[in-house]
Amino acid sequence: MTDESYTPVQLDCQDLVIGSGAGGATTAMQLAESGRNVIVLEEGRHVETEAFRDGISNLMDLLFRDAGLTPIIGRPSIAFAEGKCLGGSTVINGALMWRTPNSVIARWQSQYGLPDLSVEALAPYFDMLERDLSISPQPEKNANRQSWLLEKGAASLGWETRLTPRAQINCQNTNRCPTGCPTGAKQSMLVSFIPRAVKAGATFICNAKAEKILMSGGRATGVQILHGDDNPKNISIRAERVFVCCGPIQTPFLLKRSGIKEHVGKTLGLHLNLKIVAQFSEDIDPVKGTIMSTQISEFADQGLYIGGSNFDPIYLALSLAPHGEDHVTQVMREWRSSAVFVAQLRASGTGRVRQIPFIDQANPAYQVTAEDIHRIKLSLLRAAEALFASGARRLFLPIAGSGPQYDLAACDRTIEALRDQKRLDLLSVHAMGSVPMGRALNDGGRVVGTENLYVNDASMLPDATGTNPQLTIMAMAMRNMDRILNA
Amino acid sequence: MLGSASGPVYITEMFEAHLKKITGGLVASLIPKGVCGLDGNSRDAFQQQTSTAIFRRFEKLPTPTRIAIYVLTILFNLFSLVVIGKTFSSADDLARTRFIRLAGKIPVIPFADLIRLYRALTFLAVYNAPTVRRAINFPELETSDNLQHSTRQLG
Repeated sequence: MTDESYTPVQLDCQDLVIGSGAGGATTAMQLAESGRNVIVLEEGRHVETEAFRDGISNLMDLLFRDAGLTPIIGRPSIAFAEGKCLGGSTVINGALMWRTPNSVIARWQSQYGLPDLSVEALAPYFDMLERDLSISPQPEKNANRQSWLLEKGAASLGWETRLTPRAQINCQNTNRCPTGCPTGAKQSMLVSFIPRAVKAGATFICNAKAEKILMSGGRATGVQILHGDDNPKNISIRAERVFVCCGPIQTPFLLKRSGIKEHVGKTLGLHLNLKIVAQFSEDIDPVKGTIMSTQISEFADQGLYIGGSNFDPIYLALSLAPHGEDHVTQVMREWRSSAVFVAQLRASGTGRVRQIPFIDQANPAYQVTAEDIHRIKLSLLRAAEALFASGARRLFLPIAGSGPQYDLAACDRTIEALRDQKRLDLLSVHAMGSVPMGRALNDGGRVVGTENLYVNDASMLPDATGTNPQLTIMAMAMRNMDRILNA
Repeated sequence: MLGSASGPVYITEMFEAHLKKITGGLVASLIPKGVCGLDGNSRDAFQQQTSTAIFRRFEKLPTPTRIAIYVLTILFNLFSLVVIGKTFSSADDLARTRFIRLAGKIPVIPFADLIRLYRALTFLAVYNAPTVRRAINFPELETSDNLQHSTRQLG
């Protein structure tokens, strides 16, 4: 692996992979293990596991794109978090690994003309990934108190819950998933498929930003990159095949900058996260145990899941930010009886990744729809119902200025009274479908109209999965690679 | 100095100083009142550190985003002149708090987003500060039972 050392002007390889997240690392590993000569470019840095003990603020600077300040523009704008480091967003997520729901695969087959993309076709890849990444539900004995309370509340309402499968080996519950696992227990790409790819001979180049894919007719001939932080150098890399895996925002942006625009960046699908702070009458020690051990899945068919969220004073304070400066001090004094929960729902519309002339930056945009507002209100109400049933004594909803809510009726009134959607505090950590199969890509991930240019990351999904997409991305990437390598 | 070779540098420095003053005002108003671990002198010093840290974070952003934030921050400062009769950077604490409340409701210019951004960054800085975390007795990673357990297990 190289960081900023010797940088020749021209490199050659058989296969060039741009990006080292869920899609990129999987692609690189399969190519390298099949004997191909592979170079992988990563725009961010290589941050070692030992460094994940640093403060959260520093790590956000180091691991997140734009230090975590990327907005998806709209009314309201949505805070979007994605990784920019070796291993991509797998380094900063909770490693929740759900198989793609059968209903979603059926929708993709029928709506987007992808008959070969079946439950049966993906099943072997799910099996393989679950084995290789040690994916399993957390032991119930390790569940933290807020997950246990939520489960109890859901049971009292007769709602279905499910244990959350996570990619981890001997998780030590450090509660630091969003800024890199400091024990290396979480099976991010950094500690799993990237070492495998390196072992098989792949070369990773960090601090390398792909500027443009070099095209000749319908063939990709290589990529022009900028390498290094302070005094970046121009390098071109020639390749027989190019795999773009820069994530759902940067992949369409790079394609557009390279002149590939057909169906690119017009169908950005999102999951919207609604953070809710709950305070209980007793101490629940929210930092103890596995945070995301259970989710309420009663409304899975509507793309809604409710679960616990990682806990730290910083995350608690950020979740209280819509309520101004008035409440945070008091809640923080009582942090031991407080917890952050998240209702995650599938956005009903699609956004865009825009390329604005003369501006060298991807511009994602999403306009919250009337249907979204309806579903957000319903999701908040359901989450509130579950949390009060779990024993919460008061809640803070992600509605600016709404203040504490002491019962379900008050929540109902507050949610119903929401007229100005700009008051909603929305966050997203899952974007996908911006270069979708069945439109921009063929069934194997090849860019339509090209011979050897592929997209193999979250961008390729036909639309939003409704559930955490990492396992879907990896299974689809593996399936595509098998088809390509066996062709 | 304007017009000399160092003119552009001087203008940039003036611009930055002006922005830092507005940022300082915003941070001062957005630090929650009565935060454990921050009082008196430590609060003033913390305000300065936080403004500088926020500014440094902005410097790492892509140029278009950074310019958009700077322009909006300057507009915010000027708009305060129209609404409360003083620029935000020269207003007192009470007037600043009042303007923050009003500005968040202005429909066309996205001041609500700007305030949200500054508030998030201020809260992040406050609850990242070791003194504040110690004051609320939050167990840090190095000393938490969980990690001690993991360290033992890992070896």
